[in-house]
Amino acid sequence: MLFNSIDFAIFLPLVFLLYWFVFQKNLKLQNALIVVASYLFYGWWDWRFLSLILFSTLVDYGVGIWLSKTETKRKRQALLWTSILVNLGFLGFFKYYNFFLDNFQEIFRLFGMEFRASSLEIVLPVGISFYTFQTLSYTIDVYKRKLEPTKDFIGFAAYVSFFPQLVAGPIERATNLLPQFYKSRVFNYGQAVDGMRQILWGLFKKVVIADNCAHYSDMIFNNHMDYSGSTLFLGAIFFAFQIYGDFSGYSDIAIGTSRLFGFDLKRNFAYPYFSRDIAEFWRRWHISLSTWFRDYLYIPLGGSRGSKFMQLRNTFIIFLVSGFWHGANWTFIAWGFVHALFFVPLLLMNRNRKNLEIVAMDHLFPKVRDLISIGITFVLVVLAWIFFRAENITHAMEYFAGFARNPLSMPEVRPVLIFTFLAFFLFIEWLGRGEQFAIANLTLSWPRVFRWSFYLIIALVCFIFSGQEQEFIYFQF
Amino acid sequence: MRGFLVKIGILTSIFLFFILGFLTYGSFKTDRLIRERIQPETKILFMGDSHVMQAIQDAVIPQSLNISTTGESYIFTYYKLKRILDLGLDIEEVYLGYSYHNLSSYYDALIDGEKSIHAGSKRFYFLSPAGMLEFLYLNYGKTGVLLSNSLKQIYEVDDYVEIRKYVGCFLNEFSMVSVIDSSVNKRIQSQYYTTFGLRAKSNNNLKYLKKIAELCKEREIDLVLFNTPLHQSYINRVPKYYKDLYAIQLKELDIPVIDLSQMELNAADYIPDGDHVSVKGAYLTTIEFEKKREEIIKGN
Repeated sequence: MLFNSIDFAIFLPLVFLLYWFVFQKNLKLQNALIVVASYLFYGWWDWRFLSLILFSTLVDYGVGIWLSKTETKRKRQALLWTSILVNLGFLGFFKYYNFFLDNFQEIFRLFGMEFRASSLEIVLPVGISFYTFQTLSYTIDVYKRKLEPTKDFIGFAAYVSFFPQLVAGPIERATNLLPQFYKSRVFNYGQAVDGMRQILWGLFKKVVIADNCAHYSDMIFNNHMDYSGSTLFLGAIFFAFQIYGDFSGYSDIAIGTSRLFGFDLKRNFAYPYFSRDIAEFWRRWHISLSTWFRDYLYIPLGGSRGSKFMQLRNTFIIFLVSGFWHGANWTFIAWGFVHALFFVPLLLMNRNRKNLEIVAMDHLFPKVRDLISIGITFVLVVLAWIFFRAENITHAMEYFAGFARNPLSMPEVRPVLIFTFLAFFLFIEWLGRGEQFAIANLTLSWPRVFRWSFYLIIALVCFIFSGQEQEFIYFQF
Repeated sequence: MRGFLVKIGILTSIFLFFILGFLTYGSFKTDRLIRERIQPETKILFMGDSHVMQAIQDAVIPQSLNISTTGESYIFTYYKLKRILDLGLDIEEVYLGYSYHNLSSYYDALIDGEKSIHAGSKRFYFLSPAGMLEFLYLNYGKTGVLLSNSLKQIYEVDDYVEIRKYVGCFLNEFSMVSVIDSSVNKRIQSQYYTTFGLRAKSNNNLKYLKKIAELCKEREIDLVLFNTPLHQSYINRVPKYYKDLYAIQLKELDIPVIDLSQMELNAADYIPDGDHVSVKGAYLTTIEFEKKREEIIKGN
């Protein structure tokens, strides 16, 4: 079920009313409703994949219980590895089986040998990378004794399958989300209104910004040989806004929806395109994934401790794994590699934690130096997105080579309406860059009539200027 | 909680009120465009899809108007005709395009399939409120895109050329062309076959064909079905199932038909796909059609 669909527009109010009016007095029933609603939400795509979530839930719930009863280190390690192998096994099979097979065959061919195995027609379960990482975080935290294992199966199942963030995150840590299922929830007017505002802004990002940019970026990327260098660069910019609008829009809708049910999810995006260097970009882009990798991969590898060589090694590992997490294609690995290359100079000069505060805080305009840094960082990010969007490495290389064709000419594609939307979008995001989401506090001091008019205009713009209804890009990951 | 629900209710109502306003605007504008396109002296209408649109030069036949559009399924023809009659235009004869492909589920893609957003949004405001609901129901899941696209489409219709295209017109820009066998084959494949075999019939088109017949009967309008010329290489490849269905429907409906599908034309009088005529073919078809029409009138 897509957030930007009629199905969800019917589903959400129904679940909301049942949750607050029918089951409001019983926490267990509320959690059970969340499980049923989440399974329905997920099964809407393909009910057969429900068995995967259920199995993953049972395994991690069981491992958690056993971990609480076991003190022997070896047994605890065995239980942890059971969970890791089951979860990553599913992920590896559904997402990477054909990739590894094709590459093995290619390697054998290089040495003049033949490796025969047929690739499988595998349908990737929606959001498998997200809920796999979410359940893994539970087991790892229980193993590390950072979290008490839960005995409440329904609460745990609700945590694993919580529908607002099930298929595209934010990837929630058990330490943050799971305890919220045990506390009785009382309807909070401020939280719900805030949630509605965040949903509205998320919808705007998705249907107006992302879907409209998608039209042009698809057109340019799919016919890259026909366009000048300036248009190709514009195509990459359109993709940059498409993926940002798409993914951060989804996160906003997910967080907003959770607030309607009394839950607070972690922030996933913090205005990444206003970053002044790549390190800051990664502190602001897909925060739940980058912190996951930081806590469960980078730090166990040694993190920023040790020699420069170790630091560089760890940096490359985390960026390459992060790229590979996005999909079974060399383009994603190349994307991660390019970001690692951008990051390395900052690491070597110890400048990777330089820009921690919000840019131009308490000022309307940034300093010229900040503006230039933002511009350079944005261009680097846009160039890296070309690998992410390309069908394969050859496509990406051809795209880059195309930059040499009339790079300074006027782009052949000039959608004035989209430029207008992007300008409005960036303006609002800039104004709200200190908040959880751009319009969180923007209208609060306005008289009600202006405030409501603003919301209505955004809703009508979403309705009238929506692009073709498209799936969220991150569902495929 | 109550305050929250009341405020959400008010905002949603205002939002829906605006949507209703857009629908009303589109509907009124469509009425105005129909009045601008169809003059009061018009007595004869040619309706249907691109077959009719490219085949009948209405300028040759007095008091007639070709209001066919590309990919127009019968659901839209029905509501368009109903709309025209409800506006009080004094129509006496309707010639409706009827060929083998109109019976195929190939048309369903334009009604509730992958092309329905494009085909439906430019005709959406011809529908009555009940028709709109039916069409939205058929396209459940694409509602938002359909509504917003239809609004953009109607908003952009303002000059003479756009009005002709919106309501329908004779339009044929094909000269110096000829039938190409591979194009005919491709056409036949897309209209009558899927990767799994023969296409099923289009229940929606058949349903609305009957409704058009009933509407004409009820409003005392002479309805005549009209099959445009088809190249022999095309006819030979039409599956027997559809040739039989064509005949069965004619018998069931009991409506006169002018069937020019076997009319003798040169290959150069068709466009490559073999089921549309070229500019020259259109002129010859119109002349032949007028002869047949006079025969029917004399027969009555």
